[in-house]
Amino acid sequence: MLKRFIFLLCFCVHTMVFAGEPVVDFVQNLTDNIIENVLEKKLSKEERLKEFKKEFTAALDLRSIGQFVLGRYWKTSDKKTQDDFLTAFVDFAAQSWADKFDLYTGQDIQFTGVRTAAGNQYYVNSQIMNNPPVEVVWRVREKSGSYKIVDIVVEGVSMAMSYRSEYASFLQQKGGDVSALTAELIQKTADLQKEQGKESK
Amino acid sequence: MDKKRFISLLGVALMMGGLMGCACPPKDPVALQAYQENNDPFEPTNRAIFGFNQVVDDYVLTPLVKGYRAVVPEGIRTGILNFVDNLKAPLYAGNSLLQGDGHNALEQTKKFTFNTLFGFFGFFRPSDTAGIVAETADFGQTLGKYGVGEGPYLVLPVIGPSNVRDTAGMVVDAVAMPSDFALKEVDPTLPYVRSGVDGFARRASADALLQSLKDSSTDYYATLRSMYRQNRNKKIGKDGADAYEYDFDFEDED
Repeated sequence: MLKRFIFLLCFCVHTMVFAGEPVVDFVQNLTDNIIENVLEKKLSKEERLKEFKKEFTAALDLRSIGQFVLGRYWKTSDKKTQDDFLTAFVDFAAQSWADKFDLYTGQDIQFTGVRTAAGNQYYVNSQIMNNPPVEVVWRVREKSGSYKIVDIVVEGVSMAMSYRSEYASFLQQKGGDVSALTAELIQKTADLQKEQGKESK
Repeated sequence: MDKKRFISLLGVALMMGGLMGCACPPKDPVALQAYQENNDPFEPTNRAIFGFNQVVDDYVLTPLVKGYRAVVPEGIRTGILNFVDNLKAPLYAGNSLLQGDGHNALEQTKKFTFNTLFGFFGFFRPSDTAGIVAETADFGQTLGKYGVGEGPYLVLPVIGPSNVRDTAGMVVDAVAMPSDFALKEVDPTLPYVRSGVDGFARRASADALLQSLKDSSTDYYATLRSMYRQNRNKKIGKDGADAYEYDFDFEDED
């Protein structure tokens, strides 16, 4: 009840309070760019994916995400294994998100608040205006003056946490072999690509 | 859906009775932490049921959903989903009251009245245009808000991801569903039809998402387990409200 009230309050004053909050501007710029240059532009599937990957790799702190997602297996891997995993992970994540582009039907995104956290981190709250609205929280970290996204949380489901939990389970079954996970991700990416090619025919 | 309910209860009873395998906690501290994070002591059993559900999904539900989506136009499918969804509004209102959320109870009541009267018994959702925004509220959530812990993760036959608390909540919701009392007056089989249509319509509307989630998972079971738990924690908003605010010191190596 109280939360709702606070939300309403935030909602009413959000233009006043959040305009000019640089971290909110950063996220808003990103979503605006993605909507404008990826989702709403007339592009072929390949071009759309390419554009999206460009925006996405620039805005996300992929190394930190990769580190978190692999958890304890990150530390036990050498640099090459880590890098190979990162490349495969990024390709795969972009491809699997591209799978969901069609779900966007012009919804508006409202920014509803921002909280700071330890370690130069921010939680930027936003809502995709469906009914009921879908809550999206952007976890952003400031590093040497620039912002990078380290996690995206949709309706309480953290992207980083979900991947971490899934990969931990996969790796446990493979005796902790990170290169097996990398191979699996490359395979999945190829499968998704094939599947999407089929659909677009 | 009498059978469905019976089977799920049986499944829970079997697991509670410890008749089936349970994964033993590992000794290694890091592995132990992962084990506790998963909250899944019945993993072997859960995976077996999950495997069964996947077979049912692949060979029964998916073909049915494909046929349904091919034959029934989107507008009608949305209407059917709206209709069964509307019938759950009184239950959500009741649970909202139990949770002390008068605002949502009122919104659900408004939504129900509005859509039933002006939306052709809930087939359409004029409440959207009227700016009525209502959240779902089930009894598992109510229990959670009262501080009942989630208990171990469970995969229920046919129904899918749950936990001990939410399974209990689901049984209470099924018994207490206000619309079912009204439907029963018309015909005693109608509540089962309603619950069947509800499950099917929701499965059909989530088809593309589920497929894409499955295609992009290296371990679909683990993905769903993690997502289910995070999402439920958020809905309860208590211990897990901000569970995504995990501590992580992003070590900079470069």
